[in-house]
Amino acid sequence: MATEKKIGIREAIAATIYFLSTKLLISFPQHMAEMGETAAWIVIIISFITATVGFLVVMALIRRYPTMNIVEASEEAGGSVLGIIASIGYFSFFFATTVLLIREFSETVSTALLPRTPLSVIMGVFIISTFSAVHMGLGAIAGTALIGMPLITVTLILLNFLLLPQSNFDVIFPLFGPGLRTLISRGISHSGIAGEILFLGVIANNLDGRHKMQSAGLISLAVAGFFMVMSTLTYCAVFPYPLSLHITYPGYESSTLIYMGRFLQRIEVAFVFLWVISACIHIALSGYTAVAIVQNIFKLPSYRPLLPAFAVLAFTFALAPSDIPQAMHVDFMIVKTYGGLVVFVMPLILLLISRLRSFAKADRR
Amino acid sequence: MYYTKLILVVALLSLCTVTTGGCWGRTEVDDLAFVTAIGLDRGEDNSLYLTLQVTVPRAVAGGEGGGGGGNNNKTSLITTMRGKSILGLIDLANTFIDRRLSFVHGKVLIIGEELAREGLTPYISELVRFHEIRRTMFLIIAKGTAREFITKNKPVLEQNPAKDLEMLTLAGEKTGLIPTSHIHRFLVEMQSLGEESLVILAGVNEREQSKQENESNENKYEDNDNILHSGLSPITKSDTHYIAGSSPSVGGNPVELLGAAVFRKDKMVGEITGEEMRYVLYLKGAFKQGITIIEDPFADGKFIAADLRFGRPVQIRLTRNGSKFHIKILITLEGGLIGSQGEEDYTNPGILKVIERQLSTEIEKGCNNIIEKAQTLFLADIFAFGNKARRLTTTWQEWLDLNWPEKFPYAEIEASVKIELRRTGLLFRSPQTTADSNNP
Repeated sequence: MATEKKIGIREAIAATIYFLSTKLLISFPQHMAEMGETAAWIVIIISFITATVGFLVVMALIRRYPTMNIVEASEEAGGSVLGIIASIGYFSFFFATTVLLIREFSETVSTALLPRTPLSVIMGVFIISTFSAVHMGLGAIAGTALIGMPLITVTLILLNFLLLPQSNFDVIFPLFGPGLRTLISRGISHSGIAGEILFLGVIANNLDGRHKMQSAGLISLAVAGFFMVMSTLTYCAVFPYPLSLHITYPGYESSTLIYMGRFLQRIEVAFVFLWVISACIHIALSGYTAVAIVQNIFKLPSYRPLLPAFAVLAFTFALAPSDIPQAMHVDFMIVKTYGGLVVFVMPLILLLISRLRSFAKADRR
Repeated sequence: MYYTKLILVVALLSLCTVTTGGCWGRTEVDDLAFVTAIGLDRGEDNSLYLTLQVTVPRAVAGGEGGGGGGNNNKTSLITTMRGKSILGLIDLANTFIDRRLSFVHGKVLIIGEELAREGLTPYISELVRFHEIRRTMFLIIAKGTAREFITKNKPVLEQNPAKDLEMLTLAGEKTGLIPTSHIHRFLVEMQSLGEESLVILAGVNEREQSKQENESNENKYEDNDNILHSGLSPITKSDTHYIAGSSPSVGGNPVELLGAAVFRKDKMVGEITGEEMRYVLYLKGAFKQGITIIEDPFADGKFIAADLRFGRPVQIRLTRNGSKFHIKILITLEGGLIGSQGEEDYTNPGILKVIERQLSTEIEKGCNNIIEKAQTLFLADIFAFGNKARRLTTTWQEWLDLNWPEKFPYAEIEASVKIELRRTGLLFRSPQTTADSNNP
């Protein structure tokens, strides 16, 4: 296989944070409100804690095969059949994430900003620009993520701060929404919301300083988790439950509410500009991860020849959901719900099999 | 190879420039007609009257208006249509307005009282789904009709109708005599079990209106002295105890924003005066600053003005004893005397204490009166005490079972007020008619 340029740990952290937190800009907070009612933010805390445990399992599996990434390690641990099944599962998760994000972001742009531009044109522009980035390689995408990191950080902090006058934190009570037990079970089952952390496992061999991968993952989860909890908390304070269920594009709608007197209002366009950059980075990262997995499954020397086919597939599948509610339902109620099983439970099974095999080998000796 | 790459990059950039710039839906600014106010009134046979105030850009820029302002008809086009749906009527308007209507600069949504009493959900719901409508638009309930409010609005100081409407609402909010009322807040409160909505109340001052009609009929200015002698509207116990359209004033814009319309869910159930609105803001902890007038305790018929603001955040303690709720509110205000008609010497701390007590008693009485009115007349928690009651529950189902709207009218609520006057304005002592003999 052709060797991809290695990226530093800082780039990896920046890319992972982008990967984990960009979903805030689409309908994520609204779906969390569906899960957690007034306690939407608690669902995220529980999901991220579960995802952290899942990530440690992935790391344990990768550590057993120090020169391999998660796809190769899965094949080594589970054999050709189980390994391939696991890899197809990883691919499905990232490909579905790419496709659905393209559709959801294009719909947001279409509804809020360019209502007269055909959806296919917006989607086409997203796909061409992001797959061009993927063609340039992981280094280019991760480098952009690092440069863009201050942008999204400042955007999220500023957005939360400027929404304070519209926030009423009394309305986050009753604190436990549907009840603590339900919250915990929903939080665990939705650990797929942080499933993109597996990205680090896929690019393990491209990391300059592989031994720092675990700390990079933990830092990314902590930072992204913090932003997602804070932003969802603000969303719940601005759009109290059950109003929080009604908003199609929470990020955009929140930004239109900024009103700090006659001279500071109508500034959502500034946010949208940054969000589009964030969305492009996210789509490029998930697109890259998906094709990198296929490259590893088929042991291809390069992923680049796959790109045109993937771009066409992404475009076609992105148009498959008949409407935006269906696309969002598939994303959050299927991909992000069962994604946890694929990206965290599957590596756990493979880790156990790998250990059992080691024990069996040792016994035979 | 180099040229192929270059051509590809140029082609890609061109494609992005053309498509992401929104050229598909290209609209020039001078193709648009900017709607600044939307008015809704109840029509006959389950229909709706939609009134739109559209800015005339040339007049606003100074060409037609001649810098005089004051004439809404010159700076804006006002049109009314009757139909079933707001968005359908907007399409209809484009058959006689030669520019495409745009709502992105909309400032206010005005609803006629009759429609407000029937319920606003269908109309607000229709509007907020439409991407050009901003939830930060001010929501106003017009006594009478929305059309009347829009047509009678004659800005004097502002030529730009959009700016006029925004300034009018913001100026009122600063005094605490009207509530902060955006479409978004109404949507939040309408769906909440813990609070009910208060919306800005607007009215046309009939006296001012008839004066203007006289002026145009007789083509001459009426003598102001005649107006004063014939008497303005009767005055009330306080200078702010009026609702919109009834204040004893002449001159300027005949429309006024004063007081609030009280809602239970999406239906208007009553109205409160500007003074009562301020008591609600004290109780909600949302009061910013304003002038409070009381009768001078040392001189009958003389008055004292105090500029007050919160000394510390309002403390609300809500406890539950079985099915009974007890709410204790402590309002701590501070400020200074800014005007006095009396002749007291305010360097004497005892005098200030008496005035502080008088102010506390007056405000406390006002707060308890409006609480009683909300509990008995409106049956609506306009103070958002219910949001504090949320903390007594741990799950949403428990909160639903608590059924706060049913419990609120029976809650025992007690408001107390503490006031510290820290300043006495630019004078320690009031000017005395006998100053020479008493104060050498």
